[in-house]
Amino acid sequence: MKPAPFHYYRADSALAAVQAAAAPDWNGNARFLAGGQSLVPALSFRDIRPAVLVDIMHCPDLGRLDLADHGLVAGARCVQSEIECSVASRAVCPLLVDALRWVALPQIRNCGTVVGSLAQANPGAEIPVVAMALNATIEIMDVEGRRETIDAGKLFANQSGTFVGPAKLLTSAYFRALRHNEGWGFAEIQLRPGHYALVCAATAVVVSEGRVAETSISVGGLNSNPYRAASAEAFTLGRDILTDTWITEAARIAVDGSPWAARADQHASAEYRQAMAIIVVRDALRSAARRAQFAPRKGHG
Amino acid sequence: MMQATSNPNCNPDGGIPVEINVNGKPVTQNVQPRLLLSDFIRENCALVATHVGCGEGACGACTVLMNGRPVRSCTLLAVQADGMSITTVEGLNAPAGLNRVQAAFQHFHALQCGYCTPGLLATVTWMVEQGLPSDDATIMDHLAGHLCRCTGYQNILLAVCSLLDGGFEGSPPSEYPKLIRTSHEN
Repeated sequence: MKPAPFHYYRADSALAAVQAAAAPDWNGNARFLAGGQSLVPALSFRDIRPAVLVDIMHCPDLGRLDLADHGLVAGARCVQSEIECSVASRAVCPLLVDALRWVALPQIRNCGTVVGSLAQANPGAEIPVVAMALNATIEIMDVEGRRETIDAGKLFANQSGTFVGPAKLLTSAYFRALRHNEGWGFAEIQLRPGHYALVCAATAVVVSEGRVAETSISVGGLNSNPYRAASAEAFTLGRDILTDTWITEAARIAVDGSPWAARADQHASAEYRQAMAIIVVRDALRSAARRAQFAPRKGHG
Repeated sequence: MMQATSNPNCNPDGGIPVEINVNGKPVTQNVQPRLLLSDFIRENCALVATHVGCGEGACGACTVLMNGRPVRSCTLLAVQADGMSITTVEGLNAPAGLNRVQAAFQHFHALQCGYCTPGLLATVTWMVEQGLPSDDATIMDHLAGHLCRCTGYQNILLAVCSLLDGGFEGSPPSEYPKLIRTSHEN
C-alpha cells in the first residue's frame, strides 16, 4: 500500500517545527519526520495516518554529530551511519558503535537517525538499550522553545513509548565516553539480519584492582521498553574480574528483575524471550568484563 | 513565525516543488507529500529499472544511491530527497557500456530473474567505491539487505569477492575468487 494523504511542513528551525506540530489544525495528529525509516513504512501500511509531517531535517539549529573527550552528542539530524563509520566515535563511545551495527541494515542506517530511534521507542530497537546502559541524557524542546534535559531512565520509565508527549521534540542525545578501567559489551539475538532484536543487552563494567567496581546492565526486547537491572548490577560488585562464574548468575538475576511481564508475539513466547535474554546478558557481561581487564588504566597513559 | 497552515508547501494535493538530481540530470517537479521516492523514480522519471518488492524496506530491490550512499527508495518520501543526487541502475553504466560491477555480475552469472539486481548493483557499487574489505562479516552485513530468491547467492558472492579483492577489472580474472567460508570451516 501507499501512504494516505497528509500535509507536509518543512521547518527551518526547531522552534518552528514544534510550533507547527502543535498547530490546532492537526488536532494533535502531527508527526515529526527525521530519517523516516520507521515512519514511512508505517505510513505505507497505514498503521498511522498523521494529518501532517513536520520535516526537521532542514533545521540548521538541530545538530548532527558533536564529538568531545567526555562523550558524544547526537543531534536530531545525526544519521546512524555517521557515528557508525567514524573511527573517532568508536574511540569515544564503542558501546554505541557496536550496537549500531545491529540496527536494521546498512542501507537503512544511511537514513535513520539516532535520536529518531529514541523517539520511536520500538520494543526491539537497540539504541534505547544503549541509552539506558550509559544513562544518556536527552534534550527536549517544548512549544514555548524551552529546553529541558531528561535522562534515558526517565524517557523510558513507562512500560512502553516515551515519557515525552507528542507536542515536544527530542533535539539531541548525549552519550558519555568510555571511562578508564571500563569495558563494554553488546549482544543480541535477532530472527534474521536486519530484523529488530528478539532480545538484546548492553553492559559496561568498571574494574578496580581486579574486582568489579561498577556495572551497568540494560536489557532490551524482553519488554516494550528497556530496563536497567539494578539488582543484578549490585550482585556483580566486588566480583573477581578474572573468573566468570558469577556472570551467569548475574544474568539470571537481571532477567528475573524485569519490572514488567515479558513480551510475547508471533515470533517468540515470553518464556523463550526470558531464556534468550539470560544468554544475551551473559554474553554482553562477559565481553564487558574481558574488555575491562585490558582497558587503559588511569594514570598509565 | 509562519503559521503551518499558511505554508504553501502544506497542501496534501497541491505539489511541493522539489529539485532532485537523477542520474546527473536535474529534475524539477511538484510532487504530493505522500509520493514515495521509489514511485517518483519509476512513475515521474520513467526509470523503471528500480524495482519495488516489499515496500517496507526489507527486500532491497528498490535500493538506489542517494548522494553516493545506498538507501531504500521505498522508505523515503520524494520530498526527503529534495536537493539530493539519486543514482539508479540506469545511471551506473560506464561510458563504454557496463561498469566494473555490472561486468562482474554478468561474468559470474550473478543474476537470474533480475528483480533484485538493480538494488544489489547500487549497494555493491558503493562497497567497491569505499574499498571495503572482502571479509565475510562485511559482505554478509551489506548483502543481508538484499533478498534474492533465484541464485542462492553463490554467484553473487563470487562477483562481490572478485570485485572487493581488486581482481576483477572488467575482464575475466585468471583465478576464481575463493568462495565465502562457512562458519564450521573457520
